[in-house]
Amino acid sequence: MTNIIKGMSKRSSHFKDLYKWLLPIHPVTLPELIPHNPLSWIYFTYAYFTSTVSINTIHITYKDGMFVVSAPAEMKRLWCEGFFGKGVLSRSEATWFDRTSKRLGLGEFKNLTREEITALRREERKKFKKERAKLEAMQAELKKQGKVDPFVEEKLRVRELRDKELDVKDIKRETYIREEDSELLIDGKLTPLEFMELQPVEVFFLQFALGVVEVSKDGSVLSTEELFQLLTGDGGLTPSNPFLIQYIVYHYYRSSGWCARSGVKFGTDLLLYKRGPPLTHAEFAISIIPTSQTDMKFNEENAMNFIELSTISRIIGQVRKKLILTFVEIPSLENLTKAKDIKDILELYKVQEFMYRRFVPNRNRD
Amino acid sequence: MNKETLVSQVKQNLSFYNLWSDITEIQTTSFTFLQGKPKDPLTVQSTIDSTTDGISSELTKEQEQGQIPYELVYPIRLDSKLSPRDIHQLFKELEDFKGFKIEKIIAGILNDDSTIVYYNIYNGLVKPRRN
Repeated sequence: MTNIIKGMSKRSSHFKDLYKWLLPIHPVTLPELIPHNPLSWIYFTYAYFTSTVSINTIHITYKDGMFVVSAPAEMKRLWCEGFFGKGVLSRSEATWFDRTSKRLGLGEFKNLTREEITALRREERKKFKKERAKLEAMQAELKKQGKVDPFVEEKLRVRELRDKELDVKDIKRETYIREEDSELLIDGKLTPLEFMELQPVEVFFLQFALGVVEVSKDGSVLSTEELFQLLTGDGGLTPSNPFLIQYIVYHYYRSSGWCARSGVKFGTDLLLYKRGPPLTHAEFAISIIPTSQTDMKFNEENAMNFIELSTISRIIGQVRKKLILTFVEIPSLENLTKAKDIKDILELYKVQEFMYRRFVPNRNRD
Repeated sequence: MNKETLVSQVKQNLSFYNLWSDITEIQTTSFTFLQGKPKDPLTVQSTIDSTTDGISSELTKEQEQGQIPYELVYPIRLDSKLSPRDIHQLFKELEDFKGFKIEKIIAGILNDDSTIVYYNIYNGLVKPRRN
């Protein structure tokens, strides 16, 4: 973890502070114990008995089928400490308020949000395409007349434009205001419209595994069991419950230290980041396939055919990630009914993973 | 999640994330669509491939005048299903409503973490665009 952060030379110290915690739980730091210094023993013992683990509970509201966090400080904490949740009006971190303030010319010039950087990149790419099209039109015209293409300089210029590094230092920020934006402003102040939405698996992990949240529905706080009931649905728990299978895999990767987030943009179930989205790209994409030891019909229904596999694998390959097929072996209904509590239920499931990668015999050597 | 929440989430995303303007709901017999204008035109026509006869010429004319054409979005949840028959029905109802041929619908697919991915669904074959 520290290596990744160290590796990012420019912004390293800033990131180190901002993303100090891997999860929204903070271990107690005890003072150093020096064997030949009895004073340090006393101090250590004192600290050992007096320091308490303080957990600031994060409040989640369940409404209209969504798990919502709306206090800005709690949104920030969930994002910075483990990259949980997504701003409903942002790509990942809730940056809408910042972005919109700038767009409407209300805020000061601060750091660029990730969305703004992407927009700038697209702008540059558009410029390149326009120039390329111009050049190609001129070339086509000459070709018609049977002349040799003399545009050496122009070609170089277009190529330069293509390979241009993005310079975020001296960009001019332009305001862009629409009629719709008037409803955002009350007395010239921007209404904080954005909230954070959490995925069911994230909510349950935060509640069951970490115990750092409090989920309320219709004004009352849900217990872990009630939340589990809500997420797995009514009508009796079955071994192939979709939430349960998703959660098994989510819990599995989160507890092995990966930052797991939704993989919907790449057609998979999850994406695994070594640390988190702002620091590194996701390295792995996870597709979940439930399997059963006994029910062959179930296996057939859930198996992916090779066309589906190749579709996903090509997409994942193109974005330079690795595809992992994660098989979840489901227990029998009998064993599931025997399980006493949630922990017992989860322990009945087995996870097995395979890497799936296209191999071209006369090109790949490894 | 009910249908109103789905539609309003996609609408909000179009309006305040993608900065579309003039967004209205269109209710046909069995579907709800969103109609709006993107911030910039979605199909950039460069001089070299202005021969895109897959996209209607009307759209190109609008762009020449610097106007941004309206786009149609169909909000749908990620865990729901969309069969070829449904897609056919989408176009049919929209065409009955509008009274002219619809070339493209954008599916706005909502995931359980509020991520919305947009996919174009064309009514028939379209000449591929250059990257």
